[in-house]
Amino acid sequence: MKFLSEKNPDTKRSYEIVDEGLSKKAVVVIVARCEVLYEGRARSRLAAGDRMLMVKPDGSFLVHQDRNLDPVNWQPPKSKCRAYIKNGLLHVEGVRRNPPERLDVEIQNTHVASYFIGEDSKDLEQVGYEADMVDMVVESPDLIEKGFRPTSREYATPNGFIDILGKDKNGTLMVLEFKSRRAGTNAVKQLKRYLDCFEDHKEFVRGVLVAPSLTEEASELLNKYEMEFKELKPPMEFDGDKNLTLDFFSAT
Amino acid sequence: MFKAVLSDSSILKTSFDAISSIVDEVQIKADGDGLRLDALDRSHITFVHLEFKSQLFDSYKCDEPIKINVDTEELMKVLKRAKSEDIVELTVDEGNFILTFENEARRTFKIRLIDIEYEAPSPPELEYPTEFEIPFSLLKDSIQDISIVSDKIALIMSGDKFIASAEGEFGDAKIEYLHGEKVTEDAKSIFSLEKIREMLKADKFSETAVLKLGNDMPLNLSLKMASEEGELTFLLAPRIESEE
Repeated sequence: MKFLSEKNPDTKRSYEIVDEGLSKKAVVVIVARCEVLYEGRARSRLAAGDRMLMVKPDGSFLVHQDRNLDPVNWQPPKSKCRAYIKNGLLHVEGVRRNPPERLDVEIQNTHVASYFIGEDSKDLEQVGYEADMVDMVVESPDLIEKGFRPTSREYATPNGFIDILGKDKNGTLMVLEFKSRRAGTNAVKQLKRYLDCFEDHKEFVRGVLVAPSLTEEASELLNKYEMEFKELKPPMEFDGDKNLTLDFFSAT
Repeated sequence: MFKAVLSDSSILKTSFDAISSIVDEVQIKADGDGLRLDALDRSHITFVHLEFKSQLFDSYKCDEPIKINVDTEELMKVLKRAKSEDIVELTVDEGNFILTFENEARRTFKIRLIDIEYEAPSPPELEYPTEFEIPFSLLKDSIQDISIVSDKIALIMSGDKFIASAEGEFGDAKIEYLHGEKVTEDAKSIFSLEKIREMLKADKFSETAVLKLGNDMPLNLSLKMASEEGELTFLLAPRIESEE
């Protein structure tokens, strides 16, 4: 990894480091006493304080204070970022044309100016979401009940998309709504709205709410509507399928 | 000094349509023989190699080797503005890659060069059991067919047939093509459809594609101009299915 860092550089040197980092498409990290101005969809002003600034190669621009998880000001990826000197002070700005907006940081005193060029080819893998539950059931329909057969996914109705539409072993239509966490009355009402779309259907349609658990109110409402609950937890194992990288073949 | 003039803008457009969807920035190397680029996508799954020999250009001049580092998205934005009848001129100055489109008017675009320290990626050198040609349009259509049922595609060589197939959650699809080559070994690899689709954006490069396939090996897809003055090659790492 290429890395450059300097403590307490003067304005000119700070400018050089930041400018170099930006043109090399590095991750630029600055710790500085600065003021932050934003203009665009709204306006914001942050008076002087010690903050951490970061510009990523994709154009993301973040200003962090010494508290909170999220940056206090930021510009999204694909912003155009540059450094410039005005009235003897270093500025770093991130600009977008659409929507027109501009984040400008005026640096009064740089404590640390640095950049690094690293290698990171991986993407985050996540499981435990609703879509993963749906995948799991499509793969193994018996998790719902023996003989269950999914016929379509994301089935469009006037009231939204049904997670899974299928039939039970007797050929009765089943509408499945999935929730990855404890389901409440809203989930039950959502399922009911899907079933309402099948009012013209001559035979009984089963509505099944699939979730790890259910609130008391949801359970009562489910009974009232003559719908069912199926307890199922979202999968927590990572998918074994993967894209190999070309590096793998270089090594062998 | 570097100056290259091309009367057909579509070849640049189609190449960078694919390249810009695979990599964010590239280093184009120019020397007396022509233009070349090698690039690897961020996730190290797709490698792309482009070569334009100097003879491809209507006029070509490059006194000393140069490296042109550009943001592919910026380059593509400019190339999109080229009309098919435009004459394209490529030059560089201190800090810019300059594209000029000449027709009724002379339109000049400058793209800032980026100062990346670029290490040209070296693709794995692989020996393939099979190599065959297939009409590009057939390959593109097959991808469309498969996309109805799945986001993965199996490419298979089985005897005298090349098969593209997928098993989806709610249906399967299979395309068979008699490749007409002498193939002694069967082969099968699975790929991400999205990644193949990115490569196939270069649909105006060549009417035929040369494929090399192996068992759980990267796909080598090569597009060569009939005149052999240009080549666009992709290498795509396979997907491995989980064993459950």
